Amino acid sequence: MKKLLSVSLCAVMAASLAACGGGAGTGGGAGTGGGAGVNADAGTGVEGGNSGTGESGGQDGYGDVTLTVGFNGDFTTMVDAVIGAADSLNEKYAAEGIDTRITIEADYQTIDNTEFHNNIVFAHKSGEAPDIFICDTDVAGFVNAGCVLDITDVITDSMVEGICTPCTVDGKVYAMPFDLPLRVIYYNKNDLAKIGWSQEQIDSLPEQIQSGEFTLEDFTALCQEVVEKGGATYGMVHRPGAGNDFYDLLNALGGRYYNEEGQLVFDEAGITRLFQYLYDNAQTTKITPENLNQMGWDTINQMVGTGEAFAYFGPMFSATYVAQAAGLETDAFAQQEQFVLFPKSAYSDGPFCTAAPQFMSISADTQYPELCKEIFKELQGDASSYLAHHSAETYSLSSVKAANEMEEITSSTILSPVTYMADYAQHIPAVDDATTLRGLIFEQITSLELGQTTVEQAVQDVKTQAQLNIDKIIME
Amino acid sequence: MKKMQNGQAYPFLTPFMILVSIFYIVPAILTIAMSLTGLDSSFVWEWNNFNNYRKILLDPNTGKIVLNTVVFVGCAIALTIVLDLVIAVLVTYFIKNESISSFFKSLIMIPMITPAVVYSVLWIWLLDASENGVVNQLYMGVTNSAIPLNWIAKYPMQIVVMATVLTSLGFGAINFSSAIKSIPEDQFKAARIDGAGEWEIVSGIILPNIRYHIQFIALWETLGLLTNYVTIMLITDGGPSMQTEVWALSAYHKAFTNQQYGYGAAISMVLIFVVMVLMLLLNKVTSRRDA
Repeated sequence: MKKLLSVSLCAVMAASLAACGGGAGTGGGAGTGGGAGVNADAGTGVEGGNSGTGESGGQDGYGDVTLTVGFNGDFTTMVDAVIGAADSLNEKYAAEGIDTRITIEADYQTIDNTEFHNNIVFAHKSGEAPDIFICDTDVAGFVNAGCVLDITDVITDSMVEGICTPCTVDGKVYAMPFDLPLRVIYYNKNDLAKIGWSQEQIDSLPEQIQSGEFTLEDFTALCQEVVEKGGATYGMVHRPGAGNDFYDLLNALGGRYYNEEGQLVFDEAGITRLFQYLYDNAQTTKITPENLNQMGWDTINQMVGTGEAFAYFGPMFSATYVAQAAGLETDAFAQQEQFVLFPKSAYSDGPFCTAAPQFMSISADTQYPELCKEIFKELQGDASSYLAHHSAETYSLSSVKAANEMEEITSSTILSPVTYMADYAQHIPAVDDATTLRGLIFEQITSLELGQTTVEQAVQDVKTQAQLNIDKIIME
Repeated sequence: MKKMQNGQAYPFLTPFMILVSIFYIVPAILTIAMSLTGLDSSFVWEWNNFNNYRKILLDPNTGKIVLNTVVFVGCAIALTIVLDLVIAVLVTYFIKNESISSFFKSLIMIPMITPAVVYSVLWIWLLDASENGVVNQLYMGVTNSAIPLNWIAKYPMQIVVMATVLTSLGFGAINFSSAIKSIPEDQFKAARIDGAGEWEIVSGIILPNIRYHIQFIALWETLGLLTNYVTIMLITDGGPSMQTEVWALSAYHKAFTNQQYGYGAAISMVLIFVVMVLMLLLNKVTSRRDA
């Protein structure tokens, strides 16, 4: 009896395992074959949607359509822009007698970018990705996973030249930039006044940096002077985590992390200079607090906003948090803060800033690819005022040329003085594994600033880890 | 009749076994498969054979991480067991008043029942590197130093060990306390009649009587410490300079920070192997006690 029971239970177990195995097979399929299946279905669906609805869309329209938008981040004006464009389209459809009414349903999240990226990929695997979603800088990851639609045909001349470079993979555009935030250096003008600079000197500094007359070395010395003369407690601070800001500093010091073909590069000389610069700031001149990377964003934003720290390098939209932390309204903040280009250094050709746009992509799973594309086109045309509003709210220039001419941007006390920077903006291509390298670099920056490693050792450690973890890195 | 009783156990076990199969065995098999791929943020499965395991061997940080893990687990276990025993003996053998004993037992449970995030934030707040940090205020007051210390940067391993030990104390101490209570009172009386001192009673009666409990807790805590990295992640995140990067945290970082899921799975597989060996040991200890 016991034997019989055992055998039958074994059979049940085997059956359940087999069923799980089947599930696993399906799951595995979802990863590979299944993924392809989803793509194929989506492809079929999309094609069907295009032809079917294209015909009926031309005659009768789509009827009532609900499009979902997946958003992650604080700047919800991006979603407002999509909603505004949909409303604008609805009005046009109504005027033309086309039976299409778009409703946008947005899902707002504020989670880690990597987590959101993974959620989108998983949702895509099960065919449930939102129709439109915010796309992080790992556009290539989304493309490889088959999540995003090629929208090359959507991008028009109305966009700022070169702005789609970061979301272009193999010559195809997979996301639309919604803004043109610049990564720059900003400093507190009040701190300069405190150390005896005249208003004329303060006002002329941005131009001196723009002309290349005032170099990065001069600026670093200025940071030190401000600290020594009691203008601020710290001269220069940065983000407390891995980020592309450090790549900008690498560029300012004549280094690079990608080549002309957009391949990831390990520039040993450049990285050595970067590490030496940050080490000196924290350990020698002490213009950077050595435990900066243990501080939270709020502490750093407050230090910058109150002038306790003189200068900061990072994206301009971060200044919205700085202003908040210091309890300043935009106009008051604009009066005290100056945004400037990364100055020319002894190793670089000239001053620059970096474009760091935020993008929205269209899901490869959407049943309404044409409508989603129409929304993006509308944002470049009649609904560009929504992008102007988004840009003004986030201290960014706009990705659309016409929006940059709108009053909301031209009258902005923060943005109007920096419009010239668009001419100096570097548009960075999508570089595979750039996030891995920046993570490795940041690990060493933390140790260097704490004085727990040497520059030579840090460079060697990054080099070893980069060779081990990044397959396609070119060592220079 | 006995056969029927044994047989009835199987239907009761079956649903559990099915759930275990679905939620543990299948994911474990998938993890093995994943460890042989270069799975990244695209979630496309591409086999790379044993490249991830090769990377583990070639990575110069592997030795450092193994050493950190051994130091972390070793120190935490030694401290936990010793403190568990001290607390258990104090609150059970020396403090006879049940309500006072219960009060102290409740006290040591507090870190265990506090959510890890709250608990870790408390540590970070206490050890704040600025002059506003609580520990720094004490330090500067006592030493008359004008410069605050960056405690977490200077003593990262000591701090994560202390934080972890405090959260582990409750379980072991309560377990040992129950074990001490189950020792027949006659043994203590006989020892006292024979003129044994308190230390002789502790070392000659209490410790031998609860030795299997000690072995069990030691192995159980080892398993927990090997696989749990939350406190470390929240306080130091493995830093600075890899000084507190332990094996489980390294798997997390590779998989979820660097999005090298295949590599992270391979690191996890090594950990699973070690944990399985320890589980077999635990099983052996339990069997010996039951025999």
